Amino acid sequence: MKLVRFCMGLLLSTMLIISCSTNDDEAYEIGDVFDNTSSNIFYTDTLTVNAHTVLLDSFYTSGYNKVFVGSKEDDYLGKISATSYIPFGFSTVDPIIDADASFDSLVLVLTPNGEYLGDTSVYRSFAVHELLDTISPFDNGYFYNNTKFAYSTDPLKTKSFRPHPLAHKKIYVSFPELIGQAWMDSIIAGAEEFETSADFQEFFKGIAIVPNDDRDSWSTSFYGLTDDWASGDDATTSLELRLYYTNENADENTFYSFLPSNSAYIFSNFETDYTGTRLAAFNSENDQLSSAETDHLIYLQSGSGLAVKIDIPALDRINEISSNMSILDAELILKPRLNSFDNDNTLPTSFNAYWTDKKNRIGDLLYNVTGEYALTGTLHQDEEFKENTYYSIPILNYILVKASTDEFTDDDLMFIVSSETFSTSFKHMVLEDNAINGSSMQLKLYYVTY
Amino acid sequence: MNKYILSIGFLIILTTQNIWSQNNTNSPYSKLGLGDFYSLGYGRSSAMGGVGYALSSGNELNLVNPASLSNLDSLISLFEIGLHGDYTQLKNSSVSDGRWNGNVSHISYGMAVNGKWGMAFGVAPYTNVGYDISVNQSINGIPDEYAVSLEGSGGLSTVYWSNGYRISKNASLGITASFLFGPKNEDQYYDLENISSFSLIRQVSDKYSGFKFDIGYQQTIPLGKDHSLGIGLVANIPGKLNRKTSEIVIQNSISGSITDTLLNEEDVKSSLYFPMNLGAGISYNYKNQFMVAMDYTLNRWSEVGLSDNYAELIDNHVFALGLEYTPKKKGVDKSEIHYRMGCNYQTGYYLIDNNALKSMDITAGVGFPIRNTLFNIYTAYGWRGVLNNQLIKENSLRVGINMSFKDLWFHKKQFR
Repeated sequence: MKLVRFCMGLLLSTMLIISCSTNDDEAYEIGDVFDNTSSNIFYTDTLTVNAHTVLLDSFYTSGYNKVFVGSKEDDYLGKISATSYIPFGFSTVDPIIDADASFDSLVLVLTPNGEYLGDTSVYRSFAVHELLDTISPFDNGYFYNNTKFAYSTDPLKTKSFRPHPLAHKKIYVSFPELIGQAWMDSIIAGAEEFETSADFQEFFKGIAIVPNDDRDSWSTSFYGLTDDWASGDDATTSLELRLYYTNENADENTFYSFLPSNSAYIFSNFETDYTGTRLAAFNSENDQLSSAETDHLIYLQSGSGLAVKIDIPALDRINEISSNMSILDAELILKPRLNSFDNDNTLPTSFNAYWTDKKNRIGDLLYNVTGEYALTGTLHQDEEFKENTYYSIPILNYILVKASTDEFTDDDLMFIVSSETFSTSFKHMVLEDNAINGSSMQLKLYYVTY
Repeated sequence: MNKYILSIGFLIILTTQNIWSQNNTNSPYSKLGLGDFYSLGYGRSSAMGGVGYALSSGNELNLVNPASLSNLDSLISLFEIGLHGDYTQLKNSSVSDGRWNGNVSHISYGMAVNGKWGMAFGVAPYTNVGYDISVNQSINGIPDEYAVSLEGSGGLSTVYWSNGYRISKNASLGITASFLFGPKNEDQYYDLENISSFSLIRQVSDKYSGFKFDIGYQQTIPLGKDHSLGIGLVANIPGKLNRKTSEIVIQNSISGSITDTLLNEEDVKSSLYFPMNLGAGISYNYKNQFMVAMDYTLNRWSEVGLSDNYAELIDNHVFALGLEYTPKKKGVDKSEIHYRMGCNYQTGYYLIDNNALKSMDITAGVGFPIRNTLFNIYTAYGWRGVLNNQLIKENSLRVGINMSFKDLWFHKKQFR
């Protein structure tokens, strides 16, 4: 009896723990002979993508701490040139110069920031003109890509230089001696023009730096008021007018610095000439050209305001593919036309996607499905085989919204480069559409059926 | 004592139901059909290759042929339980892997109602499902692949009530009514990291239930004073297994912040045809010292309406052979030790990639009583499957123990 009870007790306790098994954490890998069910994940890339070039309303180009100058011409986009405007005023102290000091020179100091376009072994030329109008902004305090101010017909000075890939190697443009001497005399005499900074700005409204060379395509960028080396006490001034003079009995000369009166008033103006290209069809009534009207090419151009707009007509019927389906991923591939770029950095490295309406107004950024970050297009550059260079952008959220049977929207997608690139560079894309090559503009779609 | 046994028995039944719903096997082959069938019998049959159609005993439950219950000693009741532990090694052409498992093989309670009628009831696992495998699938439209990991769990159990009745001096008839029930679940995890910021989970659950009736017949043919032959036949009445299928498909963003249930279907009903399986066995007994038995079983699984995507159910032929040797003991101490061995060969119930899933088990064991308890210890070594292509070969070693607690039925009543 005792033995039986003991056995029962032992039995009960062992049974409560006996049913166990060791389980490795990894699944056992097996060939597909165990499950060769056909996959219910599908891929398709045959949905047609329609693309259009849109000429955007003017956008502001000030506030980027950048002086951008250059000129570009090609068969696709015609001509574009960039002129920068800079107003000057006193620095923190008023100018005070001894009566017996002697004048040396009046020099415009420019500091390249390392961004450039074009062959650096070729000399370029820009002209510094005196402004005839006072620079004043629109109501919102900004200046636009098509804002212009009048400047003198003849330049103060023309400067020849080579764009330098290294930043911070300063360029000095000496103004005519007569002008500099006149300034010095006025300062010493205590003339009205140099009494306050406002008086000075009335007298000297500022400069326009105008590209003076339209062979090839080139551009260069200078820092605005401050460079990126240091801040606070160590900050070096990167853009200034220096009046050099030597005090009597001094060994070295010294200078007074005129600084940009308002760094927010430094901006670039862009002028385009589309004659001879398909883009000449833009006018005040027509701001959108479909790719069929432009040789099956679509353009994005900084400075002038050309953006790429896409729509995918089959999306409202996508749910007809299968009664039970869910889209897992969507990626748009865009290919630039082969001979429209060199390895000279004309292609932007990334671009943003915005929702846009029928009137091409720019809306919200396109976010990912969880709303955590904005989706951007990325350049995949193949330096060896240019035909393998392409852009890709994930656009799942756009596809889900357009394919949804609950929400309906007329909005589509607009691709624009980042504001700074759009406002202070010549970066551009010439993209091919589906008709030229089935894989040039392609939507890669993955979905599951269940 | 009876109350004590009965209450502990029910408690054990309740707790083990829970245990049986865990994974008790780790074989990828259990993905097929209804899962892995339990094939080595119970009690002393386990040591003898699973034979039992033509065997009967007065103090042990032979659950393979219900007719054998008519021979139960009418003065006793028996409470039986079996436990086993397995070590299985899985091998395919590139990888080798070993896993442990343990479980209860059956619990039953049996007794003779009167001199001619014996019965038993209990629970036992019927099939086991447990696997964790990973397969590669290709995306329709491009040559890219993704991995799906498939985790299976579940298994069918059976609750049965067997009765055996002696119809003449040497012949008996028996019937077992059993209720089969249990789930077969598969969780599929799609690894889509390379193509999507979503992952997919699909969970399919099949719940089976149905009744099964087995009819058994046994006959003893005495050949002389010391020899006898036994014959046994068992067949089940074909029937239907009901099935309720539930399926859920969930799409999750990898960051976890979005969950979308794409499909949620519950309890879609269907049914499975359960065919007639036949078994026949013969045994030879010499003076209760030496016994040999041979069984043949035909499982007509090809008639089941169950389609797997890659494996075909085929008819399985089982050949089992068992031997028992009980040396005679002189003197007062009549506790006998039984030595057993056997083997069990099956042609396979699945055809995968044109290979039948053959299996072979070799068993050995020993049985001995200690006071009112009969212990049957056994070990079985088996192998299954082939190494062709990407198939898997399994070797397994099982060690098990069956305990039969004998109680004198009317003992207390007489002496109270």
